[in-house]
Formats: sequence, structure tokens, C-alpha cells
Amino acid sequence: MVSVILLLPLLGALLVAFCRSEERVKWIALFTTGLTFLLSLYILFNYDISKGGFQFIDYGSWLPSFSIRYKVGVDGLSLIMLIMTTLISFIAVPSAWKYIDRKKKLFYGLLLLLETAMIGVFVSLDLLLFYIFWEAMLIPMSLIIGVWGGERRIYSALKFFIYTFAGSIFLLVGMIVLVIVYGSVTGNFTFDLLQLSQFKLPLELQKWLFWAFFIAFAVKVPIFPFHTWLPDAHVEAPTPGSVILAGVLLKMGTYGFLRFSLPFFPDAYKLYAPVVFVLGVVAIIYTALVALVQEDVKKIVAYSSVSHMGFVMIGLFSLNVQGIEGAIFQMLNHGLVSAALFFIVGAIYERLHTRSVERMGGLASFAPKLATLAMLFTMASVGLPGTSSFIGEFLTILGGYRAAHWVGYLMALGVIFGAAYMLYMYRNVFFLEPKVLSFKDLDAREFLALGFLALLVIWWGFNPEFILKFVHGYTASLLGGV
Amino acid sequence: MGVGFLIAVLPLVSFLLAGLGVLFRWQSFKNRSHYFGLVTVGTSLLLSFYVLFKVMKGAVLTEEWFNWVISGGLSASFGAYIDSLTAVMLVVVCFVSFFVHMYSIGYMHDDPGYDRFFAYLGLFTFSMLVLVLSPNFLQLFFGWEAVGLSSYLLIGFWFKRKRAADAAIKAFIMNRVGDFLFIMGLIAIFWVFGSLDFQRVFSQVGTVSAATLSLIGFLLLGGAVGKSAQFPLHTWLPDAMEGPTPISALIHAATMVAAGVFMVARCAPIFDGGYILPVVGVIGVITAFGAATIGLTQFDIKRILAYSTLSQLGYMFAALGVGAYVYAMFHLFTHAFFKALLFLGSGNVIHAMNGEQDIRRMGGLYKYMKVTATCFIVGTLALVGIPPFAGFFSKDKIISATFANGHLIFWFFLVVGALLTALYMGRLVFTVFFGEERFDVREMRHLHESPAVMTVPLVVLSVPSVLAGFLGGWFEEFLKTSVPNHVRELPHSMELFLIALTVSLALLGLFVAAVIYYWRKISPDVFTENPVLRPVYLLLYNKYYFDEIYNLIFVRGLGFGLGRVYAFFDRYVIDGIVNSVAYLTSWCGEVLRLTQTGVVNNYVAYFGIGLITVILLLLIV
Repeated sequence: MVSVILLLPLLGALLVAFCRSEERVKWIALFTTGLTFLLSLYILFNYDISKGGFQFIDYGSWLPSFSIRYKVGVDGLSLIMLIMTTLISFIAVPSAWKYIDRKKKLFYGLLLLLETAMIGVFVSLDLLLFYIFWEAMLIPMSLIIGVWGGERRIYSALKFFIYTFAGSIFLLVGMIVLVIVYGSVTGNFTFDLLQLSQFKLPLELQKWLFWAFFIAFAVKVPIFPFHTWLPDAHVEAPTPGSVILAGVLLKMGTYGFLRFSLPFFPDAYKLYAPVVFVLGVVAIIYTALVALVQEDVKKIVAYSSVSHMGFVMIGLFSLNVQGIEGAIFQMLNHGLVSAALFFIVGAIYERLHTRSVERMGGLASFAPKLATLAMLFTMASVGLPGTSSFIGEFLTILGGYRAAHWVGYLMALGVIFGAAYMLYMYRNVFFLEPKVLSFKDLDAREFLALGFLALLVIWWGFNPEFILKFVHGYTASLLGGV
Repeated sequence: MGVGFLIAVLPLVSFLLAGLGVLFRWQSFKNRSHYFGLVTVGTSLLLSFYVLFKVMKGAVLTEEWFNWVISGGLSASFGAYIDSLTAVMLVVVCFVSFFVHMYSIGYMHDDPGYDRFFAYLGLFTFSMLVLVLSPNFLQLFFGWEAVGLSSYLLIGFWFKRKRAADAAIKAFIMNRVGDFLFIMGLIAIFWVFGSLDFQRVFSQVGTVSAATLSLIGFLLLGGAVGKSAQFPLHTWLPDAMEGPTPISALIHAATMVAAGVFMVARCAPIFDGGYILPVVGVIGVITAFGAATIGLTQFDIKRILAYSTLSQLGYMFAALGVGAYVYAMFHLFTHAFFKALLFLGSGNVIHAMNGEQDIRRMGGLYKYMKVTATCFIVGTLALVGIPPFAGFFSKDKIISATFANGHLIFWFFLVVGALLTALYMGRLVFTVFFGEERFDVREMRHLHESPAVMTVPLVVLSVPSVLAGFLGGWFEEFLKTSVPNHVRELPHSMELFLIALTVSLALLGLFVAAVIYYWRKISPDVFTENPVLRPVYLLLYNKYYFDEIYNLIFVRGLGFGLGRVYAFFDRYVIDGIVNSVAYLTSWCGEVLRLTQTGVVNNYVAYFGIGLITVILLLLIV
């Protein structure tokens, strides 16, 4: 079943390739992503929570001489990431609907390829398979930035590619070392995630490998000070690119920490947690302040992502139930909220052809639907109770507080700064005297896509257990091993 | 589900219906949006009376709506816990909200955002009701933040005006500063007690050290100080005047600022267990006295009322600070009626003056708008504390309680504050409603009494403003079933002396105000132009420069200032390093490329050098 979900977008990409009409590809993409989303829901409802662990496992022989196997499956964590990925991809299509006005075939083909790669990252149970998807995802993404991006698209696409690729090299080396050490000790060379995670490495080696993995994941998250590619990439990326970048790609780094760093190197993970606390707190406060003075709305949302990912990082390293569950929930929540915010920014850009707050203003006078939804997502970003962000923030702060009181206090300071930059942005865009003569409100397509996300944000804000029940077992076994 | 659920959710229905109209521009909804509000809040009001009578018979109603599980052990039920404290708040909130709804039909009549206004009103009422009904800290925080959101939306209602948009942001962010502490309070409570349920937390208070309780109390107090606009987070409230006047009535009387006082009263066991109560008192006294002094010098009719709210909230905090929780709530109760009355009255004045808010351009309005003026004067007498008006009873109880509990410094400043209250309110009434007419002749055309829909609420609110004080005995007994009240008994003669002192000071204040502003025997310039007093006057007129100082330190300094520095650092240092690494790599490539000449002779030379090096190495090793 997981393989079907994994391959479906690929199939869609093939269809797109053979489709003659430039218009019809949109519908193919919408249909494929929609079907993928539905299928992932099927897995969600058929995952046996009481049993836990990895389910829906598919595997086959691939490179037997190197014991590399094709092996995919989902546990609670993967499942949540899978739902998020298919959902955001499904939302990305309507966000591209009008924005992408040339080379549509290529675009939707790449988008579907990207979806397959992203799903692959979250469901791979083989280290090498994971690495292949991890890198494969870079190609369609940098092409999307490089072809449909803004003025400095080439610079940003290259920066994105090289920066994350350079980080990933450490991951590859680390993986190979891990496999060789495992093989030389047990006599069994394997890239199987489950077997490797049972193995206890000596602390000295854990330290080295921890940092190798850390660099790759930290660049992807991105965690301060490895974050500077993100604003550049976001600013230049087309709307659907930003939606996916913020919605899904950033979570790959944090997923990596949970899936690899913590089970493989638990002692080093614990040892270096304070370093991450410091980096996380700096990310929360420092980037919030940077966001405050930006004039490009996309930069504001991009920096806000770095700030929010700081909460996730601290939650992950707090090593207690609330922190980790909060971090997982915050990953999902940030996926929804930041995707929605980029969608909104894109909708404005389509109409005004500017991203500068200086040239916006008063849009609430023209567009009640847009203004209302934007307010809702602004408040979600601020972490108002009743939205899913509150759950994520509250739990991660609680987790940080349990790990060390000062961490909790400094994280909570973020609620002030977060409110400041979001509200100033909202004021400059939607309030004040209008600087434009007319502005069209959201059309049905945009309203449905954003409305759907808004319903999820509120629903999961009141019923986070719907998501968290899938990760209770996962978290318990994870923490049991530490 | 139950009555409590209906009470809270009905205004939400109004919000949703009116909101749908706004979203999809349904004209038929727009013209009817006030009905949604009137019907739903009216029903809530009736139901809350019903609940009040039930609770008066000694019942405590509890309801569970749904379970809000956050994670594992961290869960709380959305529901209702209605004891006497909540029952009273329900009535106050619904009562004021209902008449604000009614009043707004007239006040907002021509506003293009008519339906949006009623939608926000519904949201505001809903939020506050959820807040007062909460059986646990989590729901309290939900209501707390929802109130903040609603007030943000309403203060910025006329969002095209920069001042309104900025005031909204200011209110939200200053509240967030308090919320930062409040969230940490919740987390500390969960950490210490393992629960967020009021009853479970309060029943375990005895097992926790006083130092821990003080910390929790401090954190909760932070939230209350933000929400109730106490020193040093008070500056948002006067700016909140940028919202439409009915909203000021709602914010100042029942919904927003009351939340802080309510929360402290609700958490009395925590505050009683720690050492933080004196801090509450000091904050209250500073606010009560400081705001009153500022009120003396302002010219904007709504601003004067805003500082009077700050000042009265200060009295409530002072009462909380000496442990007289019930008296704080009683003052909140009476204050809700007369402050709503005063704000709605000022709305009529502004309406009649065609938007003018400067009291220097008013005067002699009494003869043009007798109903409004009479009601306004009733409200003023209640606020000043003249017997038998409501404010006299509640304020006097607070002042006596500070004396009885031995906080003589508090007592002194509160008594002087009462004098100042009489002074600035007398100044306001005499300048606006009496004396010469200082407005433009052109404005005369607008000058008229407001329509019935705007005067009836005033008349209705006047009734409790006069009579609510007589409920004092009942109120005290009733609230003591849920809130403690630690006040020592005073000898009867002493109490009478204190009352006489306070009342005569209030009368003196009114008299001095009359001398200056009615009979005009002394010109106010004596105080403002006097070289000795002028610096003091300027200090007060500029509100002790809080706005300027905060703006400099926090907005321009730590906010945008540091933000710019960081943005520069981010762009040129961090990203600079990243790019330098890239350039360095490509430079190495460029340099090494020079070796790739394509000339065979060079390659043979490299080969030779390499060979010699290897041989040399082998020989050495």
C-alpha cells in the first residue's frame, strides 16, 4: 500500500509527460495528488494503533550483494509526515493554478516527482533508500526555484542545492561509517534501519557520527546559523515552491533527528542537547527580530519558519513526552500554517505583482475573505489557543521547561516577538489606507484550498489527540530506549 | 452540555451568522446583523439570571462539554464551573453586552462595517463568557486569548486609520507580554500540581511550599497586569480609545479588563498561599493613584474616562492585594454598570458633537441633551463615590479594608485618589455639560439628543448605578461561598469616621472642580502656567512619559533597532560567511584550473616532479 502511494505521483508525472494539452496537466496533477492524499488517509484509518511499530511494510531485494533492500513502511511518526506531505502537495496544485503560466507540463511533472521523493524520505526503512530520496528531492525543487522563480532565481536555486547537498555529504559519510562499524562488529552488513537502530555504538563514535548527521539535518531544518539559504530560496521560489518548501521540506531535517540521530546516537544526543537548546532559543528570538524589520512579506514568513522550527528543535532535544510529541505536532502544524501563509502571499502577489509591504495596505477593505483567512492564519502563527499552533507551542515549551527551566522561559518570550512581527505584517498588508485602487477577493479555488487548511488548523487545535494518538506509542518506545 | 454551554455559545452563533454575512457580503444578513446579537445575548442574559437564582439556592453547577486532551496527562475538560463568582460575572457580562449591542444599533448605524461590528461583539461576548465559566486553567487561557483577539479586532475596527491599527497592535502585544508570564504560570502549575483543573490545584495548595506558590502567583499576576491594564503594562488601555465608543464601554466595564481581577479572585488560594499579595496591592495603588493624576490633565473625553477606569481597576487590585477579594469583585460589579453608562454617555456626546472628543470644544450641552446629561451625572456620582450611588459602597469598602488590614500607606493614597477622582470627574462634567458653549456654530446643527435606542441603555444602566450599592450585604454573603475575604473588623465609630472622611474629600473634590470649572472663580491656568507647577503639569499631561520611554526602549530599541542590527548581521555576517566559503571553493577551482593547460610538456613536467617527490619520500622513510 505504501508503495502504491509512493509510486502514484511518479505515475502521474509520466502521464503529465505524455499529455498533449498544457491545460489538462493541471487536472492530472490535481487528481493525482488528491488520490494520493486519499490513499494516505486510508492508511491513517487502517493503521493499528494498539499494535504500534512499523506497519504496511513492503520490501524487495534490490542490491543483494550490498544488502541494500527496497523497504518501506510507516509507523506513527512516518504516518503523520506522510499525511502532511500528501496534504501539502494537494494544496500546492491549486496554489500553482494561475501562478505558473509557462512550461506547465514541466512544472507539474516536477511537482509530482517531488512528491514521490518527499514521500520516499518519510517511508524509507533502508538507509540508502532514504539517502537516495533525500537527495533526489533536491533536483525537482531547485529546478522549480530556478525556472519559475523571481529575478535572482538562479542564485537562490544554486545556493539551495549546494548548501543542502554539501550538508548531505556528511550524512552519506556518516551512514557508511555506521554500516561498516555495524557490519564489522556483528558480521552482518545491512542498511536496514530497524536493525541498525538496535545497535549501541561506543560513545566516542557516537559523538562523531552525531555531528555528521547533525550538519545534514541542521541545514535542512534549518537551524541557526545554517538558515540563510531559506529566505533566499523562499523569496525567489514560486508560490507552490514556497508552499512545499515550508510545508514539507523543512520537516525532513527534524524527521531525520528523530528517525536517525536519536535512536542511533542516544548518548551523544543527550550530551549535546544543551547546544541545541541554545541554538533553538537563538533561532526563536533572533529570527523573530529579523522578521520584524523585513519589508518583503515572503521574507517575513520565511524567517518566521526558522523561528517556529526553533520550537521543534528544542522539543526534539528535550527528551520528554511533551517535548517530543509537541515537536511532532508542531511539525505538522507548521506545515499547515506556513503553507497557508505562503499561499496567501502568493495570492496577493498574483494580484499586485509585489511582495513589498510598502506597496500594499488596506487590502481588508477590498477582500473580506482573504483578510479573514489571513487573520486566522496570522493568529495561528501567533499561537492562539484554539489553533493547532497553540498545542505545538505549548507542548514544546512545556518540554523545554521540563528539560531546563530557563529554556522554557526563553521559548515563551517568543510568543511576544511572534505576535509583533505577524501583527505588523498584517497591519501593513491589510490595514491602513489602501495603496491600491482595486483588489479582487479570493476566488472559489483559493477559498476552498485555504478554507480546508483553516478547518484543519481549528479542528486539530481542539482535537490534537486525533493526530497525537498515532505518536503516543512511538514516543513511549523512543523514550524507553534512551 | 447544559445552561452554561448555551449561555456561552449563543453569542458565538451571532458571531458566525454575522461573520458569514461579512465574508460573503450578504446584504440581507448585514441589515439584520444586530438581531443575531440581540436575540442571542438577550437569551444568554435571561439564562444567566436563571443560573444566578439556581446558584443562590446554594447549588454549584458543573458541566462538561468536551475533553480537550493536549497530550497524555495534559488534558482538561471544556465545561462550566458556576459558583457564585461565575454566576455574578455571567450576569454582568451579558447585561452590559446586551445593552452595548442595543446601543450600537444607533451608534454604528451609518458605518459600512455594521455587520462586522456585530460579529466582533458576538465573539467578544463569547470569549469573555468562556473565560468566566472555565473550570480549569486551560479553558481560562483560551478565553483569555480569545478576549485579547476580540479586543484587537475591535480596537482596530476602523483599520484604515493608522492610529487605530497601531493601538490594536499595542493592546495585543502588551497583553502578550503579560501572557508570556501567564503561559509560564500555567506550565509551572502543571509541573507542580500535575493538573490544570481549578479544584484539583486549589485542593493541593497546602502541600506546596510558599516560595513555589509565590512564583506561580507572580507569573499569574503578570497575565492579570497585562489584561487589566495595570502599571507597568497599562499604556494600551488609553490608546484603546481608537475603537468605536460602544467597544470602550464593553472593554472597560465587563469584558476585557475585568478578566484580570476575576482571575486573581479565582486563584485566591494560590495568592493566599504565597508572598505575592503585597505586590498586587502595590501595583494596584500605584495605578489607582497615578492614573487619577493623569486623568486630571487630559482633554479627550474618552481618555479621561479611560484613566478613570485604570484608576478604578487599581482600587480593585489594591483590594485584592489586602486580601479583600470579595470587595474587589463588588467594586468590579458596580463599576461595570456605571462605567458602561459613562462610556455610552460619552458616545452620545461625541455623536452629537459630530465626532469631536476634545472637552475644550464642548460646554453647556446639558440643555441640548437632558437624558444623556442626567444619566452621565448619575454615572459620575457613582464613580466619585457619593452616597447613595453604587460606587460609594464598593469603593468605601475597599478603602476601609486597606485601613482595617493595617495597610495605611495604601489607605492614604486611595483616599487621596478618591479626592482626585472627584476632581477630574467634576472637571469633566462641568466642562462638557455646563458653562459657556465653546463649539463652532456650524456644529449646532448636529446638536441633538440621541435616538431612543441610544438613550434607553443609558437609562437602564442608571438603575444599577444608583441601586447596586444596596446589594452590598447580599453580595458579600453570596460571594463568600466561593471567594475568601480576609478583612479585619473595624470598630463601628472608626468605620463611620473613615466613611465621613472619604465622602467629604469626594465632595471637596467636586466643590473645587465647581469653583474652577463651573463658577470659574479660579482659572485652571493658575496651575498649568505656574512656574513651580508647570513641570508637574507637563509630566502628568504626558502621562509620565511612559509611552515615550517604552517606545524608545522596547519598540525602537529592543524591537526594531535590534531587529535591524540582527538583519544586517544575518545578511552580511552569517550569509557572508556562507557565500565566502562558496567563493573560496570556486577560487580554489579557478587557481587549480591554471594547471590544466592542455600542453603536454607541462604534464610531463608535473609527472617528473611527482616522480622525484615520491622517490625522495621513499628514500627518506
